[in-house]
Amino acid sequence: MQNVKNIRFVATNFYNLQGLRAVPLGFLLLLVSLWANTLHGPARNFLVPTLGLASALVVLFVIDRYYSHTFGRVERTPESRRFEWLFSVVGGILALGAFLLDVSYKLPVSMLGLVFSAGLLADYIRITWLVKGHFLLYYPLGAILMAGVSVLPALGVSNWWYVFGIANQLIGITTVIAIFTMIAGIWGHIFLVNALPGRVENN
Amino acid sequence: MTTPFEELAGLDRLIHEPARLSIMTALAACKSADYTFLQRLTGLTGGNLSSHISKLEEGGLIQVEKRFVDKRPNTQVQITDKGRIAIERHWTQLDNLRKESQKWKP
Repeated sequence: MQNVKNIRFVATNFYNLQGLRAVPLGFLLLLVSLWANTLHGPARNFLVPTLGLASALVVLFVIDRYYSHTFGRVERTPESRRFEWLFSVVGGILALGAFLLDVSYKLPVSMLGLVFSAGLLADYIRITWLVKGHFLLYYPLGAILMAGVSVLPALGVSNWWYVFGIANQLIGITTVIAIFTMIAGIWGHIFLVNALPGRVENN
Repeated sequence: MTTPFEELAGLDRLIHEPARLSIMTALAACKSADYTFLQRLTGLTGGNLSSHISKLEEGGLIQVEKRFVDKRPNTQVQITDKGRIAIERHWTQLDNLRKESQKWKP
């Protein structure tokens, strides 16, 4: 029999652990960031982001089928759904506000990076609230990493993004978020595969 | 006051079996789950899982709904109110036993 904490954690957070879903979204954000990095003025041709979005949707559909067929379906409790919906709306509004601040003012910190960092930490507390244990430690690690990268200019490490050939802080931060999203997604998937080994007993 | 042996003897055997305890614990943490998920979770064969599910259903602890999803048959399992109370009581009993056992002296 599996560890009780493990069972509770997987059943409660089954949807969140389907990390491969995050990979096409992270890839789309990376693609858009790199595309924005090549622009020298207002964008006129949106072919690259449009193709990226279409590809991400197709891959997302395939990943959804893969999870349903391989790992099955778990319906979340209404409370969990409501809380996640509220969390997404509040997070979305804060991220939009942070994005507007970043593009409107030349700040010594990245507000978008700080909001992403706070969101990761809040999400970690949310998903480990009911089931205590050493689960998904890459969430707090990612939050620390993002907060650190976001305040680098304020700490005197200005223009770090130039080292990577990136035009400005906003594109630098979205690139870091995109790469982290993909790595975290794969990490979550590995956790799920290990938590649901599917070793079927012999008859 | 009951003795530890009486406490042990008083455990619900329908739930206490390891595979059924895993199934009930998982179902108590969500609204419902399908056979594929429960099979991945417990590692049981389809036949054995069906047998355990039938026993829990006969005891009124879970409800089983058969339906089609994407033109494929899908069996969804949901814990009942009676089942939720039973699994919570069972875990409380086990926790109490664990705490009591720490006080036992050789």
